[in-house]
Amino acid sequence: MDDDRGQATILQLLGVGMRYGSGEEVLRDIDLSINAGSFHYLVGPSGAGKTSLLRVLSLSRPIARGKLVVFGHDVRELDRDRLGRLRRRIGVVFQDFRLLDHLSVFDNVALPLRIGGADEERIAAHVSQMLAWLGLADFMEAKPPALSMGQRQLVAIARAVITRPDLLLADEPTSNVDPARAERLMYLFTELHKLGTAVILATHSREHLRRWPFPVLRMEGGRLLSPPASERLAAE
Amino acid sequence: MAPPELDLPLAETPASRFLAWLAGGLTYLAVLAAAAAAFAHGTLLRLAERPVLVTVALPAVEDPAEAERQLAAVRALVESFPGVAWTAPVAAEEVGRLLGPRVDRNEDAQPRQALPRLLDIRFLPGAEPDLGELLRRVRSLVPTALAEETSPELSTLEELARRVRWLGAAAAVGVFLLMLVAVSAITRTSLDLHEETVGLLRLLGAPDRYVARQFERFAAFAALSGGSTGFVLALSTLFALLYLAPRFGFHLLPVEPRPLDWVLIAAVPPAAALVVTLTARIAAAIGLRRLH
Repeated sequence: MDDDRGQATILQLLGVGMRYGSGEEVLRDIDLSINAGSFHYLVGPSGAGKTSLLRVLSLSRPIARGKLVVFGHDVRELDRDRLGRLRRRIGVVFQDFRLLDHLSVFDNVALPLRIGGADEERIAAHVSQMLAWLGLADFMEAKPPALSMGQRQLVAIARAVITRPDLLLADEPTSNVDPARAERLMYLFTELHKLGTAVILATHSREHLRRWPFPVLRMEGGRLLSPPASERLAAE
Repeated sequence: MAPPELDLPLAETPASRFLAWLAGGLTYLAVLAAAAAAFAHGTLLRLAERPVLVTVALPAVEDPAEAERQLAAVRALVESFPGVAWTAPVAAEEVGRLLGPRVDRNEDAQPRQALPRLLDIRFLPGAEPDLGELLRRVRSLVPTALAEETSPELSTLEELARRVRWLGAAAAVGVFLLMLVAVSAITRTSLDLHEETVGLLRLLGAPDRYVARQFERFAAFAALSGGSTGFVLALSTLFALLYLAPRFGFHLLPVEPRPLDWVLIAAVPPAAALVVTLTARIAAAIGLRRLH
């Protein structure tokens, strides 16, 4: 499954629908292909289905219909263990951070590495380096409740990128940080993108779209309005 | 003992915190139950090795020669009975002493009439003599002869020891079953309480065995910390019952613990910890299959 640039397709959605419980579908007829190493913004008004789409892509919610292929695997055919292996290749920044309050900042960030079976020496080196880069070196032993919203968001981002995932899904990752930190984070995301990580970043920030122009996925009413390759901020 | 650092905040959940208390209490009970069973078993083994003593009573015969001949015949017959180690006639003085004031005596304190003759019989250790058959054979020579086991309290003690052994073993098994049920329930409750965190771990790619191991590690810690306390308290209780109570005149347990008994008792806390740990892991694994 290759696109026009000859890159592997890591995500493919065909006629995907998703609903919460027995309610109405919040995602309808989603067709989408994402290539390895690509960068996309996901935009749309509140309630358009951005977060729901990210939940489907992060394999945290099952689809109601259609087909979802992740890293070449139809997720409906995977058992829980193999699904777990795929999830380890995906970094997710949640809108509500979802940090574990009883763990230190260090341990929160180290979590994906520990789950992946990394040795403690490597974990210590990677996590310390990441936290220092994000300006959180002095907060390694702090617990999330002691941090500001912005700091928590940084910790959530650090946790999502610490394994250098193949796919990074970020839901409003710069909404709670100051402009300087937001810029630093965008730098981090674009650097990851350059290193080969595909990034899908849900945002409301026109500033981001202007300063770092990448294809835009626009959502409304649970539908994806336009194919990514045809839509760039410049074209708008 | 510091609790293990876990991704799931199990130490902060009331249900999980209860696990250490539960492990402690049940280990305490299991140790006492196992001790009762082990000590009772040891008592039964000692009783089995204690020889059975039987005394045969022959009625008085006025003619000393005839009395002597009759006793010799009975003795020869008894010694051919299976399991008999030895026989010994009880001295006339001793018989007289046993009969006490019922014996009519002369000025020299000698009995005026012939006395019954008693024959002590000792059986080999472990022998289970058929006393009815023995008496039947003796009565073929002396029709009015009597025979009885001279330590009837032993059979009462034996029966008591058997009951204590059965009850102790049943109680120990019951405590372990209770441990199994309670740990399963606590694990499932904890799993429900931490469903959101479990979901996050799964989203980060944690396989179910990783999550189940969290419950297992916490349970192992709770079982070892609570179990150690329960074990120390149980040993203190046993020490008080076995060694202190007799000093104050309370002879509650006529037992002599063997080294093997202490080995068995010491094995209870590790066994309890193993049961708690494995149960938590299996209950978590089953519960995780239930969660989406």
